[in-house]
Amino acid sequence: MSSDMPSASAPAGQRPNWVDATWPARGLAVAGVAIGATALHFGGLPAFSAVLALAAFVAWWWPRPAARNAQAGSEGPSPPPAMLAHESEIIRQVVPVWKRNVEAARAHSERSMEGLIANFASVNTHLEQAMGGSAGSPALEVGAIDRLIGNHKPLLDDLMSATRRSVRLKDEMLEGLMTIASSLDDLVTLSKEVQTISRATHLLALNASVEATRAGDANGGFNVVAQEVRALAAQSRQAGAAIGKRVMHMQERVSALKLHVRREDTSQDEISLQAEESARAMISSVLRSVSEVTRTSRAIRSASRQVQSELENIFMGLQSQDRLSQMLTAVTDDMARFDSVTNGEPDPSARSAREWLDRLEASYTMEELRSSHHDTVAIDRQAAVEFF
Amino acid sequence: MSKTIMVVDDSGSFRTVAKLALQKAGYAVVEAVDGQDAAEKLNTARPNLIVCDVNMPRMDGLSFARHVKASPVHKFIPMIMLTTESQESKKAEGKAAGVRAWITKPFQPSQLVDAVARLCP
Repeated sequence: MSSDMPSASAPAGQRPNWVDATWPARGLAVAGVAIGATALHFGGLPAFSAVLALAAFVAWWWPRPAARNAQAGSEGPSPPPAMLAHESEIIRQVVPVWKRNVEAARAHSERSMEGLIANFASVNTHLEQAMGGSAGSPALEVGAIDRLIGNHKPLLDDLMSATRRSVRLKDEMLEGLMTIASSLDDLVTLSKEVQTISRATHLLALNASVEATRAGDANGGFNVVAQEVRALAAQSRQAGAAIGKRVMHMQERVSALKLHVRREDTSQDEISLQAEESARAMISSVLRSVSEVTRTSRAIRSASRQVQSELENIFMGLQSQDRLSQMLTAVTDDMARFDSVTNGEPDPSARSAREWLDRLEASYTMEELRSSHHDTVAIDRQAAVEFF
Repeated sequence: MSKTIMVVDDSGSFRTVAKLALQKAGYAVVEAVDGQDAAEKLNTARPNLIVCDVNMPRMDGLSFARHVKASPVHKFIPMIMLTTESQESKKAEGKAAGVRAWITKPFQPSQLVDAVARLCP
């Protein structure tokens, strides 16, 4: 490259001879290509980088006819001054536009990246909140169900005491029913005795009536009494029959009740066993659900950790915006300087291409830019922390 | 009470990344957009540590480091430079200015948190 560079120089404070000064554009081209290539290396805004690289190429290519003419000038006639002035005028007008475009792109990129980072930050915050919420999920181990039942046995006993009271009440009721049934049996016997007595009384009264008839009118009164006794015996028999019928009906009801109560009869131990089994089944079911929720929660936490890890990588990648911004600033600063020089501003580094490039290189803030400047191997540098 | 870290960088996206990592680790964060802004904020803020970029407008990070170390009030605040600069000459300049650690961008947020925890236990 240096063999193509013009050797002519201008003293500081003097406007350079633009016939020989194609090198500022070349310096710009070097910076542009370096930025474009480096930005592509980082993978950030490839389309924009390509445009930038193209712009730098144009900057490199554009003054070459003048340079060729200048070189040819050493072998033949110099190019017409009017044409050089025309090129200088184009440079003066175009370079500020390039600069503004690059700065606009840089600002746009920065705004977009800040928005992107804010969105990812929000995702990260939501993830952390979700992970914090699921962190308290219980972890179930082998034997957890037995331990839980053991821990909650007093509660289970309280729960069962009501059942036990109910069983006792049922037993008392059954006992009462048995007593009633026994009394009813006695009543049936008594009602049968009443009927037997009434039948005997009726027979006795009938015999008395027959004897009264035989005795004649003298014993008419006795006949009346015999008839009354027969009537009373009949009423007594009917009443005894009615009582017996009702008592038998009551016996049937009590027998049915006894049968029903005995059918439902369950011992205290059986009830305890059943209650414990039910409680165990219920707790097992609940704990299985809790275990499933815990497993799902763990899976979510694991996935969240992976996402957070990826987010860290994304945040690292998004820092390329800062680097890209610095690269573009290096170019726009050089464009501004170039613009000043084209407008006749004095610049010590405008004395030669070497001085311009050295000054440009000194302005770089990153090793990648220096490597690209010299077209050396790109550095795939890892982040490093150095303590002093 | 959580410790306060001042993050000084002209890049808003970088400040967001650093703030997110530090807040997640339990630190409070004060932001400044360049060295001059940071110097002004030191009049009211009392950070336990400063994380600072090197290349910034108005006042660069190394000038700010010298400013901090020249202040009898703030000179004991540990400083970490977090920058794209990896030139040994710049690091030496930072070390001479009293900087305690140098992290080269791009960085893993966890690296920053580890470095802060080491210098600000």
